Amino acid sequence: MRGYRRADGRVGARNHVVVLPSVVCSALAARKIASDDAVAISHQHGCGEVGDDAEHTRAVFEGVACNPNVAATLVVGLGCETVQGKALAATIGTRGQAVLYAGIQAEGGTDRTVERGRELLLELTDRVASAGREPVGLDELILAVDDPSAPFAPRLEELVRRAGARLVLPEAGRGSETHADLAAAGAQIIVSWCGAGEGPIGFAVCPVIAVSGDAELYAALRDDFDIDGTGEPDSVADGIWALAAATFDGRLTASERRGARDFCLRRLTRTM
Amino acid sequence: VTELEGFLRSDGRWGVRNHVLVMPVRAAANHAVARIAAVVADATAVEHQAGVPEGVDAARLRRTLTGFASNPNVAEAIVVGVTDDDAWLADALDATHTRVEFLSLARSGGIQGTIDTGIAAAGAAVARARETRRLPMEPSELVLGLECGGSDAMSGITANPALGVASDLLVGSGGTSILAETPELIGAEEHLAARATTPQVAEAVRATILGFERAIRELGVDVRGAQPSPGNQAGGLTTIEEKSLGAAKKGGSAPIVAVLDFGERPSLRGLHIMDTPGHDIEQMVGMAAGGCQIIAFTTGRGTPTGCPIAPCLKIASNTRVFERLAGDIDVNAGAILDGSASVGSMGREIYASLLDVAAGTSTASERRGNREFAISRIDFPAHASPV
Repeated sequence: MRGYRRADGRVGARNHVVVLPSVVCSALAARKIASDDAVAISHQHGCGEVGDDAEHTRAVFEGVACNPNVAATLVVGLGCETVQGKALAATIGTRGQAVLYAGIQAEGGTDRTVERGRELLLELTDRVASAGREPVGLDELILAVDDPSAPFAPRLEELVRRAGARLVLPEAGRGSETHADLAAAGAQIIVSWCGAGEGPIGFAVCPVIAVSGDAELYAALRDDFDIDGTGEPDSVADGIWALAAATFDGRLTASERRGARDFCLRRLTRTM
Repeated sequence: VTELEGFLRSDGRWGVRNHVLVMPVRAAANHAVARIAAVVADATAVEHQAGVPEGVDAARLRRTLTGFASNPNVAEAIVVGVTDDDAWLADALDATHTRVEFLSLARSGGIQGTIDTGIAAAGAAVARARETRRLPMEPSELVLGLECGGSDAMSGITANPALGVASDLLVGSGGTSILAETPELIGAEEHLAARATTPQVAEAVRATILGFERAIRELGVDVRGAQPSPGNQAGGLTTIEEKSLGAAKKGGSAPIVAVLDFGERPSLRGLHIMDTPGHDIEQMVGMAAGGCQIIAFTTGRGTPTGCPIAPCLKIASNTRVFERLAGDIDVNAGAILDGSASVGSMGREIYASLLDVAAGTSTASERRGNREFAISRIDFPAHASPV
């Protein structure tokens, strides 16, 4: 496989520049800044959160910005939010990631923030432009599965172990709401198990291999899932494994082809 | 003041905008919805991360999506689900004024097929909406949402009391206002209960506010950091009580006629309290789901957000923020501190601006395209429902 080697030795399967709003209030500014030149993350969180929930959101934002698929991040804040964008950017920076920050209240409104953000994004894009793919071993692969109870999971785990690669499983929850947790834990590729009636969903910074466990839905959405997961579990696992290596190498998954940049966040408690 | 004209709906309510809403039933439909709205620029899309309605939050989720899509500002809705199981939203909307079309990814031959069908459906709906004419409308038909976000120490002295005067003027004309943000009413419960029209309403005011406070305590969390937020504190607000007494001033001095659940529609006229979080976006969505056609939003620190379907008039508590965030804010209540306006005259100015906006004048957040959307949840099961 070929991947993007980062300064800290980790390897990315993609080379995304991300515009991350630290709060829902700056999501539109982030989208305007990113335009078609970067991945804008869109979410509804970052304010009115308390305790473990606030810390979880902050940690996931930090982790996603430091995912090996991310070359650089522009954090866009408001200024008065619970998950403070400026502090978040500083923490991301201490982990050696390329990061810059713009805040709406400090810049003086949306227009100035978008203008400033475009300049900062250009600076980040220039800084990481020279990154290219280099050959890496299968043991550099960090694969996540969003549901440990998926029928193909035992065999896939065995394949991962045999290759010396790493498998990441959600610590809590299952399904698409864990994707941000899995990306924050460093996964380069997410295998998503879509059970009965579940639709396929992509993720902002990681290719998602969507595996359908619903024969009828798979037949109807053949172009939108990556793998028919209704067959014999071991052969499904073999198919996922082969696709994971090709995906790492640059083959686009169905959600990447359609341009889906979903970002669902697991929440721990009610908003204040 | 412009003569007020609006869109009369089949249920007798009046809209002040005529949106074609494209709404996902669950998160796996978000991408198709965004792609439809990217082509049909005059359609209004929202995104959210909810799954199939399940458990404690099921009724809340159904009420929020149904109420929002049947807000009187919505002419038609294109509702996008994954399978036929998601038809519940379109079925619920069939009983409302909103003309609805339901698309499912499974039924439309996948996501691209859904996008193609949705573009045609939304385009036709936009063309029909353009043909609808405004008719003369009474201000008493307005339901106004009262909101404060990014408050500072001036909010409770300038913008909030002035908005209270505007709310009193609307209620005095027979209209309806909704005060919300339950955590920002903590400490003001007796002050508000004393204004309730009946002992039952007074009890509901106390129960709602104290219930929220109890829920926070049972979580065992420190609410500081969220209430008052870091920005509130930097703006000079020291305690939740101080923030609350300032926040409650948005409700003016009118009697409180009822307490509403999140997203619930008022059945009376006059000042209501709705049980919502302080999170600006969740709150605005709840008020719009309850039928607010227009929102007045005071801010001390300055925030650009709006509501996808209800125009949001942004009011600064101080001149510095009004000038710094000029493109994001509509009215400067800082004029009260500068000495060029009184609370009363500013209240009348806000009321006149609200009528102008209701008549069709766009707000800063509408011009910018701020269409933030989030659904309030109170239940967090270990396993999420399928998207």
